[in-house]
Amino acid sequence: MAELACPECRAELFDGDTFCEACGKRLDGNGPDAGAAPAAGFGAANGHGTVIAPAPTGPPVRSGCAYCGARVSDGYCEGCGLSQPSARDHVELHLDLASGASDRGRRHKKNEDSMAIVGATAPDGGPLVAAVVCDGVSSSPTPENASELGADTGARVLAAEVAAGQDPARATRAALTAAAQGVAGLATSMRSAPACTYVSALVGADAGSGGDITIGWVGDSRAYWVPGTADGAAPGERPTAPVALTRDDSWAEQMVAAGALTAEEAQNSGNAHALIAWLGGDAPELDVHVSAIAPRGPGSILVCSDGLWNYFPEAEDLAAAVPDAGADPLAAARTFVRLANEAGGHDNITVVVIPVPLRPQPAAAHGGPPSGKAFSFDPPATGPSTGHVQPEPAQSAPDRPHYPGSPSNE
Amino acid sequence: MSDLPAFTVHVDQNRHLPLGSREVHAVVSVEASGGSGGAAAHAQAAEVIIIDASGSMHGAKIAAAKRAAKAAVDALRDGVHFAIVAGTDTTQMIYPPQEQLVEVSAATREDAKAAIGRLDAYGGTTMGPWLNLAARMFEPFPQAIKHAILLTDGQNHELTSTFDRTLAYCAGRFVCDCRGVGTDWNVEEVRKISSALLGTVDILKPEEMEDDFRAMAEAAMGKAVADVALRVWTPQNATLRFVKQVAPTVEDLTAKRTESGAQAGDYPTGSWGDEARDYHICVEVPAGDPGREMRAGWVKLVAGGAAETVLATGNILAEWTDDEAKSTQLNPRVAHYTGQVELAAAIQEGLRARDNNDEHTATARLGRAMQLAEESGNEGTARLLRKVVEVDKESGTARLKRNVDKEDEMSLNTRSTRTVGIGGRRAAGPGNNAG
Repeated sequence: MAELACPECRAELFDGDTFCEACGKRLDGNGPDAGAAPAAGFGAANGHGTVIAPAPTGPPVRSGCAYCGARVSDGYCEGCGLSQPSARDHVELHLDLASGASDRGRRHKKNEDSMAIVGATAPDGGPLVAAVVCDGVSSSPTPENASELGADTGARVLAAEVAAGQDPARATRAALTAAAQGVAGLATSMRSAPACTYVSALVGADAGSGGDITIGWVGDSRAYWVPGTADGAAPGERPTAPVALTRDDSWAEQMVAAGALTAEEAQNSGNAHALIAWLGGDAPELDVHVSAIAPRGPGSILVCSDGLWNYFPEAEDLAAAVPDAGADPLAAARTFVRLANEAGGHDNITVVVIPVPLRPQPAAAHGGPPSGKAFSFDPPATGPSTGHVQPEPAQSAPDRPHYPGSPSNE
Repeated sequence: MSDLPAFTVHVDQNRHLPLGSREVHAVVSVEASGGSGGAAAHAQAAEVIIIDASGSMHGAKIAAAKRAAKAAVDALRDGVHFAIVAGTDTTQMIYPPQEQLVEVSAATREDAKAAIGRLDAYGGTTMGPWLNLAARMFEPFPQAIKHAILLTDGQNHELTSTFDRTLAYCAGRFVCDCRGVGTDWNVEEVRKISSALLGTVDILKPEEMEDDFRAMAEAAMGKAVADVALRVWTPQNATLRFVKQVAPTVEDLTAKRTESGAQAGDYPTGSWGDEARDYHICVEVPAGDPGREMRAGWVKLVAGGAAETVLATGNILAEWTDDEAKSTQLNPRVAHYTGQVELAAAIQEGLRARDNNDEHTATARLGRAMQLAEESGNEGTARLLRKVVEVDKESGTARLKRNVDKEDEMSLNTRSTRTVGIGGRRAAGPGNNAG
């Protein structure tokens, strides 16, 4: 074989290489160079969040095997043969008003969960946050595509509808319906239908002072209200009790509701996780569930997949696991993921933490460049904006940061 | 090398392994197409036909051999280089007179057939010199697709060590299809030649020879690329347990490995026309964590020579899971070919035991062979087995037949390595897979 060289850096190439091992130059002319962007469509690529590990962003660097350091070709190490971690294996979103973390866990090959957080400005000028977590159904084909589209569509539509003045419950239904239609559209046939669960949370500026927090769901991903510690409550306010805001569309829940089994019996059954509703081309007729809570006092909304709640099924368990999660949402999300992994990590783990009341996080709290955490509120007419990506300052540069309480004059 | 046929590699396996498990199995299917029309017609090719001319060939056998050799010569295309050799205790050039290949043309074809017509049978059988002469005459044609046909009717009168050295020398220099006629030749001995030289072996009746030789020559003319290797990369601390061709015949290539760079070895597959072959590869790898995926084998078809070309690649994967529903599934093709390999071994072991008057082992192995042949839909082998062993339908008890025709037994032995696809050749889809 004639010796091949990279057109970019002249490093030696091997037959069949798609990327230059040295500089990451894409050699077949299809798509971006390695390192130029993380995994397509998720996290940084859709502007919703940050892919923190393990794919580096910024200038392409020579990357060896994540396990043994040897050369990598076509995604496999040429030494130990191990498939290299995907950019989706661990994803973190850090917005001004909410954060989330999503992790492969310890048992699954891929992370098939997705999350999206979108901030927008309500018609009254106050901030609002729409967050969606979707859990890809492992037995369906490419469930990661379903969850990604479901979360993206849901959060965007939810924020846009509310920003345009829609009633929160209706907006929640509209968003879920749009997500369901999108995911159903991925199916190439009834037998080849990517599928996922869905749970959304809508938190407005009046949350914590009697305003509604609206939850929508299909499937067994959950939302919880977790009050802050007593210290965080204003004088005269008594913390409410932690509470689950969703009821699973699962066989177990159905058995319990029918009085056929106790909660414990149902959870111990092999069918406990069998879904009776989901989003997908092969799903039963869409039955959107909506609930609301109107706490008076501080706390946080947790939106999560079963990879977390399997280990902390009761709202009290979650509240005890990470006290005062809303004080530092990203740290709390990371801690939840770590705890679930330590408990076994049998499934993908995703959790979004939204502090109540909404309040911007200190810019330097997590070491990223301040501009990377900017969060903008656009006028309703232009629709919602997404949280910017950290640490990718280039993407946030065109926007000037705005903070709650300082309505945009642009 | 611009005219190579298009190769495809397809890997069948269950990549899901139970936690702690280390053994990865895969069936690698290789298919070459588009070669016979363009590439083969322009490929440089060389052919040597070796006819056993020992005294025992006298009569119907030598007459049939001469007709067969002429048919083969007629099947060679113009421009190919060829020679015809008579083999006895030594060698004798039939055509051309000198020990060299000549170009096929209308004139040389006629001269060769006239020379074949004058062939007589006399003397003994020493096969080493036959093969050495072929190797010598192929020497000036390094780029050519080199093929020999060897016909014998007797046993090799040569020291095993001497003959083994010859085979080692010839391996990789040319492909040799071997044929036996009558019942005085030794199947194991001739199979040793065809295995070493990546060819086929079969038993022929005199009346079958002409068609068979023509077919062999035509197949040789259909080859478009020579010296293709199956290159298998394995991870650090992995062990390649075996590489076996499992279709169209069983051929263990494990011992034929030559190292080809870090963590990789080449297994010779000879020359290819438009054809499909399957390989069963087994790799032992270090066990991985749950959810971890490993490339347990990286298979490349590599065309040889200085300008090495990778024709196609495929991945053998391993993925560890605690989901038993996934890890306990047998891949149907892996299971099927595991059964076909066991079938070939059971026949050969059974016949060897029978030769050694070990009736107990012979009955057990041939009975098992019958069960495997019938279950897997290998009707061709089952038919041959029925001439040697009968199995009681009710009890399943096997019994060796008495007074077995020697030719039937040799046919069974020779053809024991022929495999069928899943469910037999005609059936499609996953059927009654063995194992």
